Amino acid sequence: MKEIKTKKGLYKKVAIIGAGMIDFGELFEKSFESMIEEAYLNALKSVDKGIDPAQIEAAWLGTLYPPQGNSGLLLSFATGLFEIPITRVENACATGSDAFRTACMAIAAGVYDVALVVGVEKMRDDGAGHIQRSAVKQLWGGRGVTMPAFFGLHATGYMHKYNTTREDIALISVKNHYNGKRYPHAHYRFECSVDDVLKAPFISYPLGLYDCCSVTDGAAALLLCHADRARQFTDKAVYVLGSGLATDTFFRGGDLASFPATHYAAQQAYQMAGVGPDEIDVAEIHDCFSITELISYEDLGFAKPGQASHLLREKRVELQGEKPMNPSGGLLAKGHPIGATGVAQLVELFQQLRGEAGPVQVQNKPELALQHNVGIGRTATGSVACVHILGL
Amino acid sequence: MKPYGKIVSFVVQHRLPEGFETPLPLAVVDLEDGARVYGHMTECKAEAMKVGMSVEAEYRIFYDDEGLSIYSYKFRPRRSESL
Repeated sequence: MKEIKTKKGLYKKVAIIGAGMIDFGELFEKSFESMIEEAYLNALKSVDKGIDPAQIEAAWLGTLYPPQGNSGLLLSFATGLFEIPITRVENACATGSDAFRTACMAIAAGVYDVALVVGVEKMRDDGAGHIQRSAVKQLWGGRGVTMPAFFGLHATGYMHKYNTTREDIALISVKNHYNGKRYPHAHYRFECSVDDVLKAPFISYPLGLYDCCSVTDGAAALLLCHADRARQFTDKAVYVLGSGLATDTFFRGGDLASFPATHYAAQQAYQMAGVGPDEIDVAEIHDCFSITELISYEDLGFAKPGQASHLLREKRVELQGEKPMNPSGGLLAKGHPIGATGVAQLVELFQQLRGEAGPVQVQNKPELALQHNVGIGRTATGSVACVHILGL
Repeated sequence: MKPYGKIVSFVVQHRLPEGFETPLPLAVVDLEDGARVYGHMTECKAEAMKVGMSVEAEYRIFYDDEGLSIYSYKFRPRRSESL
């Protein structure tokens, strides 16, 4: 991997000045455009010193299965922002994060001063049948590999290598549903026990129902500006310190007990930010399945290989722990509207760092936050991972 | 290429769209000649599957496409090497 010099690249060049999202759920009563509009207006309102939409110079839209065509024009119709560049981004389940990352690079390059990033997905009311078709196509193209199967294969690989039990993995679901019950925007607001997780019907052994995230509608929006202009909008800007993106496939080898793409993306982000995993105070981790979060603790450097479950047993990653993980309840409780997921993780961390996370505010006075979003690709033969580090 | 390999990891899929037989066991297999492939398991109880288990590829009907049988390989536990 090419060495990225410490505190170079995006380091502190881009500020997040506003963040908004909608309550995730089964939103049959809301259109694609109305979900975007609500998230966008919430982001505008969150800017401490106010912002005029006319100040937005460019926008990025992250969505995987848009209802009408594939262009950035969808965002114009939802926001009234015409005549400016709007780019649609798609990169599997890391779509929202890559839209954000791409906007950051345009600002850091000095091309634009103020930009909007929106992530959105309508998954329950999928008239075009994209979600169903992708699952079926994947079943043939990937020889029967659904998304729960891809991650289940990693659960089997991890359990075999480290003698980890389904009980260990279930602790992720229990923790995230505890947080999700308290998170106002979560799709599923209930708690569950280890016993509930273990006794739930199997989806793809060794993963059961509570090991899997839900099919959810949602939207989230971020307003970004060049760091030099941040004071014009807020005295409490959150800065982008590091960003990484990487791909990998298990056809290159390995024992399916890790996600190497996450490791590579994290190393890029840590090097750019000039920090290490020990310094991270709070994180939003991609828990599309319980096992994904557990393994990611190791790929992100929070735990040594095979020791991720210790973080749970020692209660270090709980809401009031020393290093809270997924205070929002993660994808397991909050839901996973694909394009919105990465953006919503960043919205949550923006609020955590500013001390504005309400019922799920972590108590360790966080100064450094990490966001991790991962997707699978090429008929479920590998992954694409995106990692960001934010700070005050 | 020899049809023999070992299971690297596996799942047993219980929830699939209509038209698929469940439970459907699925494995990632490292073939003796070095290739890594996905494959359905057949002639094997789901509970009997293990990481490291020896398997062999067999030519089987994989699915029907509008009445046309599509053939491909599936894996089953390897029979005794002396046979």
